[in-house]
Amino acid sequence: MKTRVTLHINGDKRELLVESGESLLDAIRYGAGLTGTKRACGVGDCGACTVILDGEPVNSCLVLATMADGCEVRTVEGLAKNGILSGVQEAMVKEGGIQCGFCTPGMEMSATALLEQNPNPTTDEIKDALAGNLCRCTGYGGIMRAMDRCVNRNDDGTCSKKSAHESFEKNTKEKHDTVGISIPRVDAIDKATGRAIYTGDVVLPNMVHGVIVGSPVAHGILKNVDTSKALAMEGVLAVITGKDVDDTLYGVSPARYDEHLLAKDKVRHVGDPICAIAAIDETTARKAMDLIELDIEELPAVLNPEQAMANGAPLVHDRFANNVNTHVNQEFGDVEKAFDESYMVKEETFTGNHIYQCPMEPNTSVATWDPDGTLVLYSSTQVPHYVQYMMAHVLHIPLGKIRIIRPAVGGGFGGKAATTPLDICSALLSKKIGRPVRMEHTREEMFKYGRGRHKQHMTFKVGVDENGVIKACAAKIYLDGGAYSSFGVATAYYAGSMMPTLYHIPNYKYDGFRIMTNKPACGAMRGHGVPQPRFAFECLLTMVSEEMGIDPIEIRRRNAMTENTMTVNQMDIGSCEYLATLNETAKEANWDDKYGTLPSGSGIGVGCGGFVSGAGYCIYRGQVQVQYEKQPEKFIKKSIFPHANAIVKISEDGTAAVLMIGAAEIGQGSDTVLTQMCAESLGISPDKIRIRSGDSDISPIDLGSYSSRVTLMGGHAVSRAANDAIDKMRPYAAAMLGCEEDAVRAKDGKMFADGNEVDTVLWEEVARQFFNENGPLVGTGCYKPPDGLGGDYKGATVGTSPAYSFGTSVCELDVDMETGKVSVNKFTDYHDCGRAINPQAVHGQVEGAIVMTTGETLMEDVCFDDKGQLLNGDLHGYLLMTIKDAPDIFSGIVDSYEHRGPYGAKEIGEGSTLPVLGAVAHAIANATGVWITDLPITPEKICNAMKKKIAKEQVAAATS
Amino acid sequence: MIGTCLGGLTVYKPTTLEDAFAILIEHGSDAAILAGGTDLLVDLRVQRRDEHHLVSLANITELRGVTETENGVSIGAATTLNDLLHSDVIQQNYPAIIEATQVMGSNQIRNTGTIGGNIASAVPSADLPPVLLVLGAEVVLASKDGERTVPICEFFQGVRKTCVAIGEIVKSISLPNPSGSAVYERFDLRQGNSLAVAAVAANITMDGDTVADAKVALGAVAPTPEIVEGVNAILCGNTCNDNLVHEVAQLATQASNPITDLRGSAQYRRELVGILTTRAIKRSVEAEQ
Ligand SMILES: Cc1cc2nc3c(=O)[nH]c(=O)nc-3n(C[C@H](O)[C@H](O)[C@H](O)COP(=O)(O)OP(=O)(O)OC[C@H]3O[C@@H](n4cnc5c(N)ncnc54)[C@H](O)[C@@H]3O)c2cc1C
Ligand code: FES
Ligand code: FES
Repeated sequence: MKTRVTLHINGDKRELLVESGESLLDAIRYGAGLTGTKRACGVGDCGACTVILDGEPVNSCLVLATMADGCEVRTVEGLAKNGILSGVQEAMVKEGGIQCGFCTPGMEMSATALLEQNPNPTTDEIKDALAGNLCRCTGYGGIMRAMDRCVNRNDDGTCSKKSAHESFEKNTKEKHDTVGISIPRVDAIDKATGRAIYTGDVVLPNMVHGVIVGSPVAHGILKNVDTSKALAMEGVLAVITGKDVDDTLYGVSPARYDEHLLAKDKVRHVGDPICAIAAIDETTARKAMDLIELDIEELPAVLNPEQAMANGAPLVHDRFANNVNTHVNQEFGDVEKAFDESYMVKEETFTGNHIYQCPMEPNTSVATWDPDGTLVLYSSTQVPHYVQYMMAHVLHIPLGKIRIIRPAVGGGFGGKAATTPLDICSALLSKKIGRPVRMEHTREEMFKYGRGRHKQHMTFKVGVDENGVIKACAAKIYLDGGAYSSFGVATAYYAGSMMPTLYHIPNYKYDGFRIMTNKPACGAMRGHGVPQPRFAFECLLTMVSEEMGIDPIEIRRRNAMTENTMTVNQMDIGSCEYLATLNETAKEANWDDKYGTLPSGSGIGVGCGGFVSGAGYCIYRGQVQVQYEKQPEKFIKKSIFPHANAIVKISEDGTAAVLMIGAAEIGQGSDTVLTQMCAESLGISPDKIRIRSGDSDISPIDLGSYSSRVTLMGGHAVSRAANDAIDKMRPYAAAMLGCEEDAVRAKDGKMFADGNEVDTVLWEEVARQFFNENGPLVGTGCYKPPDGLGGDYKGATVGTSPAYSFGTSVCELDVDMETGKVSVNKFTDYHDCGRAINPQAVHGQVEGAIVMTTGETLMEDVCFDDKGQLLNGDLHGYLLMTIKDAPDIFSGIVDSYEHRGPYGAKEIGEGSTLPVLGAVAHAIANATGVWITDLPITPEKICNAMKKKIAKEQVAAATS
Repeated sequence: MIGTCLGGLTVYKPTTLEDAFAILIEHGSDAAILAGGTDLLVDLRVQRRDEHHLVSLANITELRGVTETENGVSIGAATTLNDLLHSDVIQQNYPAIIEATQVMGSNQIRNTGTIGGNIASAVPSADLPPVLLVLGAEVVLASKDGERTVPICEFFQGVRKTCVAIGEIVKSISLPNPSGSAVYERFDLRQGNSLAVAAVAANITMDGDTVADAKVALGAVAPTPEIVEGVNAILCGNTCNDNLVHEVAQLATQASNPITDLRGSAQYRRELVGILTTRAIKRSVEAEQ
């Protein structure tokens, strides 16, 4: 039933016709067209939909629009007045409170309501007011600083609080105008005001909605799909099933494409896509889901590696015998001999957990076809190019016929690093009905789609000499892969290959098995494959150090990776300031005073880690061309085509530059650092540059935001493109200045001869001169990883990179010794990320990683029942840390310069996760005397372990 | 079925209780009372429930607010959780209600969620019931036939089951004048916006050095929130020493009947009951001194 309601939205009187059951959120977003207010869960768990209703912040997803009739509603769009940001918005922009921006509108509404009611809230009051607003990106650090800034605002509007970068910034050796400066993100204001358009905000004329019906069982033979009732329903436009699509398989690793577009004969996990429905609106489409009749013969499901590898276990895919998707077997040096010669050898088993990325923005796609047969796909993706490549593959059309538009993306963390069923089905449905089709996952569907972190079952063995110097390490890992290969082959290799990059390990052996199970496929999540093995290794090394009476930081110093090292598995380490991160962290955290002196129940722990700055090789082989047309390519140790490409186009009057690069801004801040590097290379201010990174028709390809590659690779491409433009300007500048072309320098919007900054010409005048004579002033640049990366053994490419990051974290926490509950109080972290292009962005990544990964260590775990049904596919069963849970974080950057990186830069996005798990686990062991080697470290596990320990001690006391 | 509008719903916004009763009776089991909707709308979305006629209490003004009465206070069922937090009487006389309300949900949830909804949803982990139990609250139920008053301990009848009959509405919750010092202890897995894994409310009244009255109630560890029987027999007339507290903790542990779920095993929950009971009693006794 429709009713008419009057909403006073941001002072505008809006009369809307709404369904009785329509949420205020939908009325605001779709009725009033104010898409700043976001939906990330739909059931009150996340706060992304927060609006101020008659003065109080509420979750608009849990208010019926009819109940708000006559009320005053304030949304993010109403915060700025006459184009001037509100105090909260300005503070969020300045303090780095915004990354992907998906939580931002809701966060700002909660913050605004608080400050209006209580202009001087305490820290606890702030946290209490914001605890209903989840942020997956920032770790709440920037948000707390923004709130501090609001609270400390002077009467004249200025702020008495130093901004983040003022208090953070360290002197670096080389001074630049733009690089190394914490300018606010280039997209911050759009995100602060609700102007930013995410895929779910895209509305195209005549657009309809699609949904996917997934398998209700974990394993079964799909005998029939009866779509007739659904098709007969009013408003349903099309239904497609496995019968309507060809046999093309797709996936991520080309050697292991194993996903059908829609299930053909088998279903392999709960949620496995079976058919897709398009209907005039989302409500109709979802109702039609219930009318699809499935005939499935259920098969026994295998739900963990042990079950899956057992003799006679049912096969998830016939092609993977014993359900072994990949087996990695690597040995470098002579491990057994080295163990024999070791002073001490220790072996432990560790178990990881199923972690999902849970970006706040659900995966979303909107597809439409141009009359000339070009697919236009809007996708919330981290990897527009791979989506383009895969869409060409599944649709059998050239890449040139596919245009990928990547609107603002609300976080990825690896969950948006592959082509999704939404991308494919929206395109297929749109083709079939000739209308744009929009598809968006619910939070539950996000969980069923999966692609989170592999749960790993690990045995680690390490041998050291009498000084604690590592002689050998052996790792055996079973990765629970879920039902499809996805990234899994690479994951299995990464799990082993990164171990020798942090410490000198002269003899190393890795045995890895990726096992297929009837659960949603696991994929690549922040730190791809490495966080759990790193957790295991760090715990083991600390155990060894403590048993030998060596300080855990000292044992790391003795084994720390050093610059210009070729590791035993032939990873080529360039710059390395790992030791500096150890020393600085120890100093800042007062390690020497605290370690070993804290009372029972209080703990301090250390963990370390690092990551690649971009994968050395592309995911597919050969050139950029649809796979069917290419000859099978023999692998050579060389990039066939540039992985990052940029164009800089200078406006005809010389006053602006448009930077075009297909690098995916997903919240991590790539648009900003690329703009900064472009500005620095051009010698103009970053506010003269507009970056266009979201449209494959405009920007040349970049492989995407994965493996922490964009700053290094995109940065090179961008600065080379800028230098190319400058080179073109040189003759004109030289003529105007009367100097040699080589001597021309550009800085601050001026050009001058090297060494003479007094006699200058205007940069824009030189650009105009160029245009007058030659037409468009355009520079291009590209980047290929160095040739020859990696050894010659199988899998040697995985883990190769132009550069590696390093970092150390110290965690301080308290454990309730009765209940086992952990309160994480403080983190101290130093990272070697090379030169920080934007320190505030670096700290934002570190803070976000620490909070995300502390949650991973303590409370996150996707659970399934014994039939493979998801038990916690929502954000109240699967817990992300709130602002109240987040520790105080000190993030520092050590001086470092990577010669292979642009302006000396490496990476921070993924490396920052790696030290965290080990640091938390160690701090808990330090507080309680028990090591928990099974993630997540829940209060219950701590309690049980403490009880076991006491019982053991009692037995020991009784027997002695 | 999240993310779309709930289909086939009719929402009524009566301004009087009488009108509300009439609609409720007309639609019987196909009608549901809509207070803040923080439980109901979620249940409808995830298809745990499927009523089609929602009767909103929002416009029945007499249902909202805290009023002082001769013997205590009367809290309108539609009083929001944040109303409770901001109420002077509650702050002064019933701090345990503040303790329980403070840890509930998020600020947004507390702005819409109501005390009536918190008890009427009869979710085992609800935070207010244990406190209301140790405060000796009574629930006033209204229907077209008049009102009846039910002690809170008789209100809950099972998981998501109460004694509210079709056509009845929880009108208010009455609290007697405070006696003793009630406290609330809750264990959860996250600091913000999470549900109780185990919870204990205690209310000890001291007479000099000896206990005059003692009540302990449990939440999240049985199908319904429950008073622990036999606490007075242990504590009453005695000074409250560690041994006795331990005895009560054991009694409470035995009285609990938790399930194993993702938030914790039954065994662990039982242990939590013991720990929380000890803490609650000690804190309550301290507050009395
Ligand atoms: C994200 C989130 C977090 C939450 N956290 C907590 C928490 O920490 N602790 C906790 O205890 N609860 C929590 N809840 C549950 C819920 O918010 C509270 O129980 C709240 O008090 C319910 O009140 P309401 O007004 O929203 O109820 P509604 O959803 O409107 O109603 C709930 C039920 O009670 C019935 N009902 C409501 N009012 C009456 C009445 N006057 N007479 C008869 N029946 C009535 C309804 O028909 C329905 O069956 C949470 C919910 C969400 C979504
Ligand atoms: S969308 Fe409303 S709380 Fe998550
Ligand atoms: S910035 Fe908060 S969720 Fe991304």
